[in-house]
Amino acid sequence: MKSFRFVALYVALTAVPLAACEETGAMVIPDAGATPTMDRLTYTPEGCGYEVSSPRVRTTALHAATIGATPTPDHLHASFSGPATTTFAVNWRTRGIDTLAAQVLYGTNEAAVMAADGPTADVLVQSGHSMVYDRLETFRIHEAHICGLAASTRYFYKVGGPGAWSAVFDVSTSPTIGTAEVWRFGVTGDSRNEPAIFAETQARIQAASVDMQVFSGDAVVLGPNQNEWDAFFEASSGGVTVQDVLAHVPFMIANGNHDGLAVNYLAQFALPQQKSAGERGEGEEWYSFDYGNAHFVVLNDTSTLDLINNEQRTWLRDDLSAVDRAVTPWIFVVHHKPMYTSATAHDPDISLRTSWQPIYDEFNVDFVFNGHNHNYERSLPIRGFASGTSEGQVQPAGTNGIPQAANGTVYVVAAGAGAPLYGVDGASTGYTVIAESTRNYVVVEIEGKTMRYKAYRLDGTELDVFEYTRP
Amino acid sequence: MAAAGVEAQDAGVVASRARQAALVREADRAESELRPRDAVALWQQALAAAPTSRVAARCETRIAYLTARSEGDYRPLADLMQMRTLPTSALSVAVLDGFARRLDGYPHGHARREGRELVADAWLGRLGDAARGRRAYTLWLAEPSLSDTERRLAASGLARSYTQLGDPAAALETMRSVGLGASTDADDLRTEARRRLLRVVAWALLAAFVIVGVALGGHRGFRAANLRRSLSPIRLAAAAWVLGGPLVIASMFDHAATDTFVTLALAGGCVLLLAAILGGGLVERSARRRRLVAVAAFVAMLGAGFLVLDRAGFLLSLGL
Repeated sequence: MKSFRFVALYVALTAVPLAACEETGAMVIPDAGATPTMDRLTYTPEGCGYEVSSPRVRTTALHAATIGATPTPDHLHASFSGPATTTFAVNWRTRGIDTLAAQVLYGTNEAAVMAADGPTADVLVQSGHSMVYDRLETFRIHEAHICGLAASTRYFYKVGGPGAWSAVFDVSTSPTIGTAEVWRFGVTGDSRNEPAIFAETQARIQAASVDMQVFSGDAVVLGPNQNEWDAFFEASSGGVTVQDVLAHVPFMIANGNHDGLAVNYLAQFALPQQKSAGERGEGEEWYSFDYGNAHFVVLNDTSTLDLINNEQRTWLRDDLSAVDRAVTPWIFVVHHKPMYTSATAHDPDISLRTSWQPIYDEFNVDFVFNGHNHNYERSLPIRGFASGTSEGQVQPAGTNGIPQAANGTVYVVAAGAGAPLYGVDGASTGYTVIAESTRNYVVVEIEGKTMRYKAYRLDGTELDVFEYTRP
Repeated sequence: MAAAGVEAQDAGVVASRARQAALVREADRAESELRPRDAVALWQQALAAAPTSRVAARCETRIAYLTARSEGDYRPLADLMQMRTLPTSALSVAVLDGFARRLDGYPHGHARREGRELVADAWLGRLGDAARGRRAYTLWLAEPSLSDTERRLAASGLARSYTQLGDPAAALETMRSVGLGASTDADDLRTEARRRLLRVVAWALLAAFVIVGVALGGHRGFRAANLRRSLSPIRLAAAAWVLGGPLVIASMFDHAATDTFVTLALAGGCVLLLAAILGGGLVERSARRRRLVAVAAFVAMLGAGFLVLDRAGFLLSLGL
C-alpha cells in the first residue's frame, strides 16, 4: 500500500511537467476522438538545384494564390539554405492560416520591386511553401528560396502574394567564394528572455554594416513556446526593429539547449539541409556553408551523446576534409556550449572537448564561436591536450593573445544578446586572454587572409580589438 | 558588337566597384580618424559609384547612422567615437569626468544620449563605482527623447546601482517610476530578492526537519536494530526508483544536466535516508509523531531540491 502511494506520487509529479509541455506545444496530444495530423513537404524550388524539406508539422502547402483575411506578412528574416553566392531564403508569418500565398518578388531595381504586383521585365517571382505547426492554428509560417542570383549583388524583395505584399527589403549575396573583397560578419548569441536587448544588439550590428551574422543559440527560453519567438521577431530598439535587420542581414543560427530543436525553431529558419546519417530536423540540426573566403560550420552540441560522438563527429571530419584552404582559408565553427570558458555558471564541456577538439586541431580551425555562458571571453590559441589529460595545450601567442601562423584555435564566448549575465573568472583558467561579464556582440571583418576583429559592449565601447593575418 | 558592348559594360562594373572599394577604405579611415563629416561625404561618393553592389547597403547604413548623430556639427559624435575606442586601462576617473562635463555642453541628440550611456555603464561596470554610476544613470534618464530601449537600459542601470548600494527597494521603485514595474528587469530584481529569502527558508526547513526528528525521539533510529529495519531492500529500491528515474532520463537527453540530477538524487537521498532512520526510531511511538517527521521530511526535500536547482542555475529559466 505504501509502495503504491509512492508510485502514485511519482506519477503525479511527472504528469505536471508533461501537461506544461503540452500547453506550450512541445507535444502534440490528440484531442479526444481526433488524431493529430503530421505532415511534411519535400520539393525542389524552381531554379534551386537543392531539395527543401519542411519539418513534420500539422499541415503544409505549396504556394497557392489564396489571400486570407489577415495576409500582412511579418517576422521576415533571411538566411542561406543554398550557396550564399547565388541564393537566399526568406521566412515570414501571416496571422490566421487562410493565406496560402508564399511568393517573393525580387530584383535589383528597388523602385521596380516596390511597384510590382507580379513578375515584370525587371522583377522576378519565386514561389515557396507554408506550414502550420501551432496546435491552436492561429498563424502560418511561409518560406521561399530564391536562386539563380549573381554573386556580390544587392537584391530588393518583398514577400506575400498579389495585393498583399510586405514592405520592400534588401539582401546581398556573398562575394565570390575565395574572394579578396572585404566582407563582414557579426556574432551574437543567447537573447533568451530579453528581446529588447536583442533588438539593441541587432541595431548595433546593423550600424556596423555586417553582411551576414551567426548566432550561437538560445534565441528563446523555451523553444516550443511560440510567444517567445513572436517577441524575438517583434522586438525593436530606437526605431530599429529586429525585422529591419534580419530581413536584410542573413541570420545563421545554431541550436541551443533552450531552443531544443523544437518545431518552432525548425520551421521558422531555413538552413542548409545537408541531411547526414542520423541527423534530425530534416538536416538542419548541423550544417555548413561558404561565405566569402570562409567556411562556416554550425553544429548542435545539445544533441544526444551518441550523435555528438558518432554521426555528427563523422560528418564534421568529412566536411572539413573537403575544405580547400586555397579557396576558403578561414574556417569558423559555431555551436552553443563552450569547451573553454571561465564563467561561473556552466563549466567547460569536457565531453565536447574530447570528441570535437581533435578534429578542430586536425583541420586547423581558426575560431570557434560559442554561447551558453552569458558573457564575453576569448582564449589563447589552443591545440592538442596536455599529456594524459583533457586540458587544452595553450600555444605560443602573439600580441594580445592572437595565434601565430595559425598555430591554434581561438575559442570565443560571445553570448551577450540579452540573457542574464554570468560572472567570469578569467584569471583562473590559464588560457583566457580576456573575460568580461557584459552584454556584447562581435563584428569580424575579413579581407583576404587578414581578420579585423572587434567585440563591443552593448553601449558601443570596444571590448576586444585585434588584427590577425593567417598564413 | 553586342559581345563588345557586354564586355565594356562588365569592365565598367568592375571599375566602378573598384572605385567604390577605394572610397569605402577612405570612409573607414575617416571614421577611425574621428572625422565623421568627411566620412559621410565619402560614403555618399561610394554609394554613387556602384548603387546596386553588395556594398551599397553598407554605404546607406553608415550615412544614415552618422547623419542621425550630426548634432553640434558632428563634434559630440567625434568625441563619443574616441571614447568608445578607449581601453579600460586608459579609462581613468579624470578622463570619464572630463567627457561627462563635455557632454553637459553638447546639444541634445543621439550622440549626447549615447555618451550618457557610456559614462554610466563605465562607472558602474568597468570602474565599479555604484555611487557615481547612480548619478550618471540619473542624468541619462533625464535626457529628452529617450527611446523605450534607452529608458529601459538607463532605468535598469540605475536599479543595479541601487542594488549594489544595498537599496533593493529603491531599485524596484526606479523601475516602477519609469513604467517598467512589470518589465523583465524588474522581475529579475524581485526574483533575486525572493530567491535570497527562499534560500534562507530552504536551509531553515532542512534544519527544522532534523530538529523535529530528534526532538520527537527519532534519534533512536540510529540503533543497529532499528537501522536494519529502516533501510530494508525494498525501501532502498523504492528510493532508487524515485530518485534515479529523472537522472536516467537526463543522461539520455541532456548530458549537461546530468550533474545537477546527480546532486538532486544525492540530496534527496540524504533526506529520505534520514527520514527513514528517524521514522524507524519512532516505531514504538505514536503514529502522530511519525506523521510529523514525514511532513518535515517532505518539506525538507523541497528545500533540498530548491537549493540544488538554485546553485545549478536552473531556476533562472523557470522564473523562480
